Amino acid sequence: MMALWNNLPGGLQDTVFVLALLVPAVALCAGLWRGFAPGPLIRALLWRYRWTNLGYVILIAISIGLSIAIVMAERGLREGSATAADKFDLIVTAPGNETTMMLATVYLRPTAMPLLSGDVYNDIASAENVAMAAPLSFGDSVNGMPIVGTIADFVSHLGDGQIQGRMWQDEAEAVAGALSGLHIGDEVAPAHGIGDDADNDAHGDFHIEIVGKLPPTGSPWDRAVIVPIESVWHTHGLASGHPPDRANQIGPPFDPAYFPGTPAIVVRADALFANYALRSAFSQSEQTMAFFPGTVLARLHSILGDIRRVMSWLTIVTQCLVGMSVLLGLFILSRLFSRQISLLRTLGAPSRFVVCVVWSYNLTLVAAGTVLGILVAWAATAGIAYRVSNLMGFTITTRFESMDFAFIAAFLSGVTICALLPILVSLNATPVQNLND
Amino acid sequence: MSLALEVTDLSVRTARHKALLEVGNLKIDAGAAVGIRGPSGAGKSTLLSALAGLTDRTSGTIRWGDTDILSLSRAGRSDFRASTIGFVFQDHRLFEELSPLQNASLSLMYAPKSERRPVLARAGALLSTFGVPSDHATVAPMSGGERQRIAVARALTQDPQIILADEPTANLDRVTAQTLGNDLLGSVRNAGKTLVLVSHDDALLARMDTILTLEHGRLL
Repeated sequence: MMALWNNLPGGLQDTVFVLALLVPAVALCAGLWRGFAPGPLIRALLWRYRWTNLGYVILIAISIGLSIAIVMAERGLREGSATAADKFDLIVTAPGNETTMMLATVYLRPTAMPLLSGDVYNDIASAENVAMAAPLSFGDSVNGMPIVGTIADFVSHLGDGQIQGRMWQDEAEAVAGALSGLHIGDEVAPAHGIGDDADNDAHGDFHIEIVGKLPPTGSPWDRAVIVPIESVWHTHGLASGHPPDRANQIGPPFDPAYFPGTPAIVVRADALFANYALRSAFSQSEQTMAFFPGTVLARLHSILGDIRRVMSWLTIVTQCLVGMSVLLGLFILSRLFSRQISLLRTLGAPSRFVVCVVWSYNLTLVAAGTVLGILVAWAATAGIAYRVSNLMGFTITTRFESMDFAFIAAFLSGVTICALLPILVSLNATPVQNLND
Repeated sequence: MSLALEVTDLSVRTARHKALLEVGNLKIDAGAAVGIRGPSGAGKSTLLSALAGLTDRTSGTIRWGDTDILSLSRAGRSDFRASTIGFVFQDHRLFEELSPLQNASLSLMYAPKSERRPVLARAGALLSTFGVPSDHATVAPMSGGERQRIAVARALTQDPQIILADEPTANLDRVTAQTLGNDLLGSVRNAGKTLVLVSHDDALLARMDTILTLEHGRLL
């Protein structure tokens, strides 16, 4: 049996698990409805208390929605930050704090970083198994978006070779990120610095023309304007990276004598295994530090994971409170039609029929609130994702996972079974008393 | 089809053991129409509830035919009421959002499948006999008299052997009350059912075979 289960595809296992969680509620429903036709009466009760019901459904939806949204947003944040670092196999910087360096390089957070020399760059670029060594330079901006200087190979790597338009051919051309709002043919003037301190006039009348656009990468680079690194050096009055007889050259090789320095180099090995040897090789020098952004992120995520565990417990506790509130609400709602319950009992309706009517009424409200809660969760997560994406620069995914549905199914099943409690309490009341209330 | 009633040493008490109703002996013949009158708070409604097996803290015997309703379980009493007793309340106690026919045939929702069609047919026929328009989607816009006639139809739909009516004309004007009395008594007498009716309406009580008076929870 276990072998059969283990051989099932993961998606099917998840579906079976979710359905299994719903079995108690479905079985209870089937057992209560067997031989009865209470539909019109349930509809009548739902319609009679429609505004109360609506308010109750909305409360359930918000409670469930926000509980799920927190989990979804945290997951989206984790996955989004990991996706953003996907294209950065190995980063070499001057020694320092890996997290700070990663935030500056991958997430384009403005940070003052020491520079690596041209000799260091050349050593790295010419090392065995290095397929690409992309120097980066930061510091300027356009409309609040960072301008990043690098080489064409890295831009192609970022865009998986799918650049709309073309690659730059001189230092006055740029490739814009997918979410930069810039279009091919636009001309922009770089400002020195970024944010409130940016100086719009520092670079005179130097203009950059957008000649290409990257496809969405889900990273902060989607909101960047990427230029030849020579362009950044040039606008800051530095050497071009090339000797005077090749002053107009764009891209490597660079001459160490004319290399103004780079705060970070993104390295891509020609084979996966080589990354580890390169990291080791570039970490042995006192001048450099090499790290995998994925490893740094994993460390950060493990800290987040601890917070996540706490959040998971908080979510469970919150959900229990929601469940108890729902039950309390059901007690109150059941009191609303105690007269109808008493009437049915007086007319001789079997107890199972009375339970069936009230339970189905409750189930309808809880199920409607749960379904609406899924929409609330999606909307809330989308809202959080939008805000955080704008703040952090990388895309946060909004999607449900099977565990979300398992959580919803467990909640629905648990509450609907517990919903029998207020009904059984109502059944114990003397019908005569409720009829005369 | 009707059942005789024999009540012996019936006592209904409150949770604090205060006597609400004490009836030493009461016999009603099968098919008889019995009226019960008495001042407010005398225990008339309690007596009707007790006769239907709806009261707690009740002792003695209430024998309908061969069945002592007090000896039955809760489920047994429900079954007995569903098959044997029709109830008419002071106010109609209809479901506002259901149609006249759905209200009159309420029992089909929990009746065995095989009985649903006859129940529906009987409910329709009773509404037609009582002149209740059945084309309304709900009973909400209907008059008090029409609603009470639907309630009477609901009580008769299962063709019960006993009808218990608690002040069925109390909320109606004289003309409507008389019409309802005609409908109720006509149906009951034609089918030979046993009727126990609580009322303050002297005109309606005058049409009963027997009138009993209840005061301070005791039959005079």
